[in-house]
Amino acid sequence: MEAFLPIVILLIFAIIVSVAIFVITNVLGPNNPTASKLSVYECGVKPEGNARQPFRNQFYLIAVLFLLFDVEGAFFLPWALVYRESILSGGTLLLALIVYMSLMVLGLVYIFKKDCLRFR
Amino acid sequence: MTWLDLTIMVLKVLLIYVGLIQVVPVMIWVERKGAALIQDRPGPNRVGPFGMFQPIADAVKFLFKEDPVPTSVNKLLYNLGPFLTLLPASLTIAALPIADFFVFSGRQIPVQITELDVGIVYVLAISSLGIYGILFGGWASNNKFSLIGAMRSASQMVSYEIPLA
Repeated sequence: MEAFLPIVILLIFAIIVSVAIFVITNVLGPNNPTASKLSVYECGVKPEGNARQPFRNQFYLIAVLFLLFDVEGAFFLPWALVYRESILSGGTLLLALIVYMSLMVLGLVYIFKKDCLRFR
Repeated sequence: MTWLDLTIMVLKVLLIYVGLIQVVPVMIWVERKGAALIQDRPGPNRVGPFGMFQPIADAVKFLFKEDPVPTSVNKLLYNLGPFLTLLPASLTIAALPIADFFVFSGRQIPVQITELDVGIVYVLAISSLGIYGILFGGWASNNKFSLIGAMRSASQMVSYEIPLA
């Protein structure tokens, strides 16, 4: 744990420096806000609507599932690289991947059962 | 842990952190001069020899600039954004070895803020936190363009991080 103490000290220094820059800018800089300065900056075009519009959470769900399966799929690559050498010395690696793959397929079956992939 | 250890620790942190901050103007100068060289234009050449003091002049200018906060923003997150990008950038140097160790009163002192066993994991973990500042700033400014930009930046960060790690 002692190795992390310098990081805490560094964090304190970094916070001091960034707060100092922030405060100095606000003290030294001028402050004359006008209406156009305080409006949303959209490249000179009149701002229209709100940026924080609600969207269907189906998009979010599909994105999360994609990320999950993407990362899981990435684990196949190192396995495929060492597979040829390791299959000669027994099938442990194959068994391990079968277990892993069945967990993944189980997840996919669960998603299908929950009807998550259909866009409603 | 004695007071000497603590003093050495704080001094190392101070020296390396201040050293890092000193490097920033030089790197800005190198970047601008390099881009100018590639694009066949002079680049910064007014302030100091070869325009080397230009980043310092810029820094002073930035300090004297107004910092307007639009009324439609989420104030806390909008102001928190720059902090959250600067802090990870400062924290990642903690695990980097700067130079060979030197001997001081019979003990070896590595020129490194801390010797972590999980140094590479630490660097990866902290450097990926920098995206929060961009996302906070982009979302909090209540601006469609900056929101899209922040999302692009975040997705690029995430997609490059998985193969890197």
